Amino acid sequence: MKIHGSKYLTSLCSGLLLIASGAQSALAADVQELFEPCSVCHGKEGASTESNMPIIGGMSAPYLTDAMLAYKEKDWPCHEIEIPSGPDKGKKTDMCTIADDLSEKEIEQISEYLAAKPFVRATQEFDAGLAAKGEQVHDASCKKCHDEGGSLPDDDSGILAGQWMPYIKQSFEDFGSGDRPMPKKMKPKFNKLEDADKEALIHYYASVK
Amino acid sequence: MPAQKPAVYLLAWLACLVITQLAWLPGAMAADAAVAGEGLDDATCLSCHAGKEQLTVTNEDGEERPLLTIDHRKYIKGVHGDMACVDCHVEIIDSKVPHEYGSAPKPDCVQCHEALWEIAKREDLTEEKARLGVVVQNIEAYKESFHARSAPSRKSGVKAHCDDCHDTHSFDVPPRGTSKRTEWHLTVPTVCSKCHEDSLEEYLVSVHGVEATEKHNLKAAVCVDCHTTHAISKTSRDPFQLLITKQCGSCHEEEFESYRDTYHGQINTLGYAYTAKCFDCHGSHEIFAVDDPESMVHPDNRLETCQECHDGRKIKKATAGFLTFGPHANTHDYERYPQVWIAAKFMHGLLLFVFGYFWAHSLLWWYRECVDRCGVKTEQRIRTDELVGLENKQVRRFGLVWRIGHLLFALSVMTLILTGMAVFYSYTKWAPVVIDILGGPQMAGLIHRISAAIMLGIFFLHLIGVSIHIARKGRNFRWFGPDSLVPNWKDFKDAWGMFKWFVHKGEKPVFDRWTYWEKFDYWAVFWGMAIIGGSGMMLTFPDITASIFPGWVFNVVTLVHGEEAFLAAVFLFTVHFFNNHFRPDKLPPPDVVMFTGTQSLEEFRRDHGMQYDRLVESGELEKYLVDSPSRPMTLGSKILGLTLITIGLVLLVIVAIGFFGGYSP
Ligand code: HEC
Ligand code: HEC
Repeated sequence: MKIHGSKYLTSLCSGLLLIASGAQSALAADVQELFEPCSVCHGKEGASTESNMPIIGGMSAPYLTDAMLAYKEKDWPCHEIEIPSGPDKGKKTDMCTIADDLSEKEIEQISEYLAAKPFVRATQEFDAGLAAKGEQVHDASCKKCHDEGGSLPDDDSGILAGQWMPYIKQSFEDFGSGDRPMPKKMKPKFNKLEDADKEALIHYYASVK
Repeated sequence: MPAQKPAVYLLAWLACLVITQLAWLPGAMAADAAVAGEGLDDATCLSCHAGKEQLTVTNEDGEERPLLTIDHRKYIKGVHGDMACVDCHVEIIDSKVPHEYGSAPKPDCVQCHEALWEIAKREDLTEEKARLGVVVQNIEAYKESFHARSAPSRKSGVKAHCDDCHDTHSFDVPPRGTSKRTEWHLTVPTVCSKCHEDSLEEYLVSVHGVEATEKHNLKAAVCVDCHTTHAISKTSRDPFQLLITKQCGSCHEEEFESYRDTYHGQINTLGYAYTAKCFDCHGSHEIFAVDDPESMVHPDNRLETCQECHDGRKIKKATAGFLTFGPHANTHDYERYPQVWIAAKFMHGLLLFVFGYFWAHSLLWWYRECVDRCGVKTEQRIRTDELVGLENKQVRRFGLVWRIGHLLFALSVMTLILTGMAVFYSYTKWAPVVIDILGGPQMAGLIHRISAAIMLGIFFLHLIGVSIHIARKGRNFRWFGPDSLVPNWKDFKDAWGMFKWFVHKGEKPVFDRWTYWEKFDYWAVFWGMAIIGGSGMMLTFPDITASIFPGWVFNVVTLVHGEEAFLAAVFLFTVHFFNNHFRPDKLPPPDVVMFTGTQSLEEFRRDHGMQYDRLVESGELEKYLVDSPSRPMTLGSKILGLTLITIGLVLLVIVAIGFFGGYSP
């Protein structure tokens, strides 16, 4: 009877395991599907080609997860965004609504998925003089947490090098107005920047090769 | 013979090569340095590296730099002191200038220490070499830390490697408690500031910095006391913020304890980092004493500090009233927190009185019934001649509305207790589990508020119902009559009489429709609603509360809300359960009268003999007689009753765990 019971248990367990592993692979397949609606704006594998949509592929998973959770909680600003293409072209939405439709689990999955992709730097025109000045500002105030010209995903501080200039500009505005909270130690550094410094930084980040 | 010579040379050369390649392996570590190559003894190394002359070398990229120098006296005192230079520097195979490097890797602390520990484990020397174990633990923590993250432009390829903080040549951490340790401890900020210059500047002028560096106070925190030594993570990450909060608490114990009693601290203890933590109010590096005008918590700056989080965005903006809130209020400091002290004394008095009285009541009752049951049964049976034809009849005691009201009330109160106690006893093992299952503190809070609305709703509906009932009766309502729940003289006599009966000094009183303990249960709800409901409403609408009352009201209200809830929970699941389900003449539980609404004539007569006699006399008993509940109804009621009792007892157990168990970090 006992043996029988344990046999039963074993088969039950292996059955469950099978189901679980099946679910696992189904989930893996799902990640791409999950990301499908994002790619309309953020491009294939998060390598956005639209200058008003940030490149997100290749950022670190913790940063991406935190960002999405911040949108979900409406801690980050919920700018109105127009869908640039696809069947819903022209419709209005915002990142908060988009993030709110995802579960925490899904957010983590998407983050892992994106983190494994390369960050494809945007090619954009910049002013070399401003970029040089920007580098100085960056090295003096921002390097500590945005190392290697802001190109290290491992810093968990997003990626600035090669990011679309309009997006960097917008995040500067959001930080400046207080609409987007800043990390405690970034705040004093950022608040000391002059407008000209910020302009220079934007050109610098575009210049990082 | 001569033909063999080259072979011997070849073999010797091969052996040499193998030894040089393996010399860095710990097993070979004690091997004489001389075997590694000619002129590779320490003296030879030091002839250049002792720094007697100022020598320079040219880097791989063509830059000139001063030659690395070693203070040999310090070196031999360090933990690595009895090792030869080439034990670690296996890549050095000659004493030429510049060196020609062998193919062995450069010294690697991690590999070497992990290998040493493996050997210690294999040779069963883990106890003798416990320090090695600590090093390996530190390495494990380091590997997960932010310092171990990649930084391609740095030589080590990581943000910071072992030798960025530890001077490997003189490495020697003195034992705890020695004055050497003090000195060593105080060097930490200088070490960290090699990279974190800004933080050092902030730190040096802070209370911690002044105490540590100017006053040489060993107790004053240096970098590693808050950031940990090896597990250092990015401070913006939640788990690390929680850890840092605990680190503060490991020195500032009393402040940490009082913090944990506030909502900020309770949520933090549950493992969520979104409420205020030490450094949110006091600053992280730039911490000053409260009376220092630089301090974030100085009365002049405090409101601004509160407004960092209470910024009018997601939560209402902090108002001047916040200044009198005690984020570290305690119940024992009358001088500083008189209102909290008084509230605590009152609540403790109330708890003692209620439990003292009712637990004595329950215990004595139990004792008396046990005595009766062990001895001759004297219980009188109902004279059967009165009951001819009434075998299938029961007495109706509670109408449908009452019963539904009671059920909803019980369910909402239990939900309130679960969600509330998880915050009240946030430091227990079970609390974070409950909160997690419920979907986090915000969701648990929502459930708590919805249950509170249900509970208060039922209470007010009941009030309206009773008012209508009394109004209809008008002058005919007998306030102190047998159907009224208002206490009357007989109740006090009965209460006294019961105690006399418990101790065999009198007959058991005969009760009318409502016994005094039932009346107590009834009126206790009014008290509870006023206290818990009132304080709960004040906490639910903090903005309104803050606009009317000073900040310390939040301290008082939080305390009263929690303790009154504790009183209610424990009262319900001990005294109320005993009186209605667990006293010997009710066993086995449950008593389903509150679910079926009816009870047997026998029970009715035993518990409410006076009402029974009255109804028999006036011939009104008929009016109250109904058919016994159907089998499914009885069974369902029993299942429901047992379920509720089980939930109640589980809640009682978890409350007890919270009450008797303390916080453990
Ligand atoms: C309609 C276009 C649109 C869609 C669809 C969209 N995003 Fe965005 N996303 C944006 C824009 C624009 C921003 C820049 C911030 C803003 O304007 O709100 C942004 C910002 C972000 C950021 C923060 C980037 C940073 O550097 O901090 C992340 C992460 C992100 N989106 C992830 C996603 C994911 C994941 C999805 C799919 C579930 C998604 N987005 C769908 C337009 C979109
Ligand atoms: C103490 C560390 C620190 C310093 C110093 C710092 N940052 Fe940041 N920064 C972060 C972190 C962490 C994040 C991501 C988290 C967040 O946005 O809340 C971030 C995010 C950003 C972002 C948004 C990235 C995105 O993809 O949305 C920008 C832009 C930025 N920082 C610019 C700067 C500039 C410019 C400076 C220098 C003036 C600076 N930071 C200094 C830590 C820092």
